[in-house]
Amino acid sequence: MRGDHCATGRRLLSGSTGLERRQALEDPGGLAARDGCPVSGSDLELFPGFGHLAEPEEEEPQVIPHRGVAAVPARERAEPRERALGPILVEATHRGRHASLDVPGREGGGRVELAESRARPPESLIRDAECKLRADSTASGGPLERCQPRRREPPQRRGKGEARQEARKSPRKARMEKIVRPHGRDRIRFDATGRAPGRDRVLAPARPEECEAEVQANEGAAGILRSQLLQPGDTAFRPPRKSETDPGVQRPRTGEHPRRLGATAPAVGGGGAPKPLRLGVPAEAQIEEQRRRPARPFRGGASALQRRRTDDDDRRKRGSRDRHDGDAGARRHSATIPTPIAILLKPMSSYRDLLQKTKTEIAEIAPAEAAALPDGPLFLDVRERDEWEEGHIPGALHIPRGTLESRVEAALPDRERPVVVYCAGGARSAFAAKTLEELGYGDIRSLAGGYTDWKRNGFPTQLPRSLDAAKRSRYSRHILIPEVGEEGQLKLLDARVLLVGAGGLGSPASLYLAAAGVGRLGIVDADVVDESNLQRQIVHSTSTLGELKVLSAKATIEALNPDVEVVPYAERLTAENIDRILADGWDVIVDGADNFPTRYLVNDASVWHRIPVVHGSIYRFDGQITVFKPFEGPCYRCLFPSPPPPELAPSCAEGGVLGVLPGIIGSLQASEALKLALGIGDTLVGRLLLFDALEASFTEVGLRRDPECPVCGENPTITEYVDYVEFCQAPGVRVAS
Amino acid sequence: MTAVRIPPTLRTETGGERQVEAEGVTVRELLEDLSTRYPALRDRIWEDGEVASFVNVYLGGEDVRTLDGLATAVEAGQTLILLPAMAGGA
Repeated sequence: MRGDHCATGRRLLSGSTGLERRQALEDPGGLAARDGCPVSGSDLELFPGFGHLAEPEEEEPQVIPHRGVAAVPARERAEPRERALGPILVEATHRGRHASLDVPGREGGGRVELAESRARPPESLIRDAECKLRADSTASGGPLERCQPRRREPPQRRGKGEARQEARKSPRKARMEKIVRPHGRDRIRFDATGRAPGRDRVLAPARPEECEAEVQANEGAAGILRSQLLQPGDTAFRPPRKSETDPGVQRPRTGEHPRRLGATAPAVGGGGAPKPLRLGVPAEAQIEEQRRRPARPFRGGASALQRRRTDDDDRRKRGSRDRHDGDAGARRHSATIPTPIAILLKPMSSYRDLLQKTKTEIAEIAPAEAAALPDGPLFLDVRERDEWEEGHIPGALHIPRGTLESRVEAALPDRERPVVVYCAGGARSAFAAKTLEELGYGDIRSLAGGYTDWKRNGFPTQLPRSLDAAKRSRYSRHILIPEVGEEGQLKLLDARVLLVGAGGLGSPASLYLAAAGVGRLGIVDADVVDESNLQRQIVHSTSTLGELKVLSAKATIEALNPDVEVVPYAERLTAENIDRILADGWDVIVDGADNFPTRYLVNDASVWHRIPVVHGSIYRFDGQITVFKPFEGPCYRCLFPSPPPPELAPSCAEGGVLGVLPGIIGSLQASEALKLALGIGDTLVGRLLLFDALEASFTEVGLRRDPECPVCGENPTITEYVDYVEFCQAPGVRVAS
Repeated sequence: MTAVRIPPTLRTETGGERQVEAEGVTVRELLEDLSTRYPALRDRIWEDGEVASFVNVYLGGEDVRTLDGLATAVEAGQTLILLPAMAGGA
C-alpha cells in the first residue's frame, strides 16, 4: 500500500461556523455525536486530517526527536479490506473543562471523558481512551478484538521476522501504534510538556468502517477534498497512472455523486447499512496540505520497493502542481483504504487579548509624566501621515508604524536615548514600543492615551508644514534620508543661495542646487556664453551661445525645476554693487569666481554680512574646496592675506582646465551648500580639500583662523572693499570668464 | 629627504614634477634646499627672506604658521605641501 502522503485541510472557523461544525458532528450518522464540550466564542481551527490505516502488526511507531520535539512518522501500510475502527474525535477542552473522546458508532462505545488533556501528551490521552474504550467494549460485550493488536492480516504478506516481532510486542504498545499512526500527518509536535504546541487537541483516528462519510465541498475546499477521492482497495498495489492524477476521473466510493466536487472519507458504521456522513466545508475554507513522510519501506520484496520508488519519482515529476492543489495525497491514496478524520480545535487570540498582553510587556507613561521628563525625551510619532499632518508633539520624530522597523535604526541610532512612542490612543504605540525593545532600544515608553490625551491635557502641539504630493514625489529621495526628511526638504525650499559666477564651478553647483529644490538661486555673472565655455559649463548649451550666462542658466534651471526662483544679476561684482546684491538676503554664497579681486571682494563682504562662503577653485587637474564661515572658521584672508601678483596667478583661460574638474569641485560645493542650508553634517569649515584628478586623490590640510587677519582678526585693518583693479584686464571686477 | 608636493601653478619651475624631494631639519632649511635644487622656485616662494604671503606651507597637513613657522622641525616621513592661492573657477 502506498500511503506516505496525506493531505490535510484546515480552515478557521468563527464562532458561528464552529457551531455549524458541531452540528455536523452531531449528525446522527456522523462521526461523533458529541455535546457538552463548550465551543469558545473565539475562533476555532478545524483540521480535517486524512490518513490511512495502520498495521497493528507492524513495529512500534518511531518517535523521532527533531529540534526538541518529537515526531511520529507516518506509516506505510493499511489494510483495505479490513473492518476498521471509526474515527475518534477529541474535542478541545475549554477553560479547564474535561476533554471528550468520542468513538461513535462503535458498539458499546461512545464518549469517553478525559480529565485535563490539555496538559497531557496525545499518546497518553489516546492510550487512556483506548483502554477506556476497551473496557467499555468488554463490558458491553462489544468486539474487543478490534482494540487488540492482532488483526486479520493476509498471511502471505507477513514475513517471519515480522511475525516474531509481533510476538514480542506488548498489546498496549501495539494499540498505541494503531491509534497514533493513521492520524494522517507528517508529525505531531510536542513541546517539552508533551503538548502539541499551539494545538489544544490531537486527533485520534482509527479504522474506518466500510461505510463512508462524504465530505462535501464547494470550491474553496476543493483541494483537500479532491485529495481524498478514494479508489477501491483492490487497486492497492497498482502503480499510479497519469490519468489518476486528475481527481475528476477518480471514482468516489460512494458513487452517489460522481459529478459533485466532493470526496469520501471514512465514517463510522453504526453496524448497519453504510451511510454517508456530510461534513460541510464552506467556501472560505483555507486548505493546507501536509505530506506524510515515508517511514519505512513496503513489505513485499524488491518489486514492491521498486514500485514505490517509481511512484516517488512520479510524484517528484508532478512537483509543485501537486503540492499546490493537494492532489498528491489523492494520488497516493488512490490505492489506499479510506482514512480516518481528525479534527483539531484551537482557540485564537483576539486583538484585544494581544493588545492587553503587549501592554503588560512594555512600559507606559502618562502625558503629564512625559511632559515633565527632565531631559526632554525624544517623542516618536508612529501614526499615519494624515494624522501627523493634523498636529503632533513639537520636535517629534515621525515614522509611521508600518515602516518603523526599517527606518528607525537610521533615524534613531542611539539605542539608549529615552524615547516616548505615541500614536492616537496608545495601542499602536504599545506594539511599536514592543518592536523597539525587540530591536534593542533600552528606554522606550508608550504614551498612555496617545496624542489624544496629550492634546486634551493641554500639552503643546504643533501643526507641521508639509509638502504637497507633487513635491513629495519630486523630492522623495531626499525625504527618505533621515537627515533630510520632509522637514529638511522644506528647509531647502526656503533656502537662498547666491552663486558668484555661472561658469565652470557655477554650472554644476547651480544645477544640483536647483535639482535639490533650493528655493531661490541668485546668479551673478556679466558674461555671455562662449563656445570655449561649453567644454565644462554644462548649465549652458550650444543653443544659448551668445546669450547672457545668467539668462542661459536661468532657462536651464527653470526647465529642470520650476520650484526654483532664479534671480539673475547680469553685472560684474564690484565694491559698488556687492552690498546691494547681498542685501537681497542669501543664506550661503557659492564662490565660483575665476579671479582674485572677486575672491577677495566676496570674502570681505561675506565676513561683514556674516554669510558663509563655499569656496572652490580649479586649475588644470587640481581643485581646492573649503568653507569659510565668518568668525567660526578662517576666512580667505586668513589663508592668503593678500593676492599674488598678477603674473603669478594664472587663470583657467591661460592655464586650461580639465572639463570634468569643475564638475567634481562644483558638485562638492553644492554638497557643502546643501549641508549648510540643512544644518547637517561636518562642513569643510577649517579644512581645505585638495583634489588631484591625475592621482585621483584627495588631500586635506587644516586651516586656522589668523588672529591677525586683516578682515576677521582681532584688529582688522581692512574695513572697506578693496578693488584690485590691477588684476583685471577690464575696469571693475570681472566675474567668471 | 622629505617629499615636497608642488602645486600646479609652480610646476613649471620644477620641470613639471608634481612631487620633489629636499633636505632640511627645519622648514626653512628644507625650502632653502628646494630653492637651491630648483632655482626658479626661489622667486615664487620667497619674499624678503620670508615665505610669500600668497604661499601657504603645510607640514603634515598643518599650516606651519600655526606650528613654529619656518623654524618648525621636519620629522621623517612628513610631507611638505606648497600651496599658493589659486583663483580659477570658470
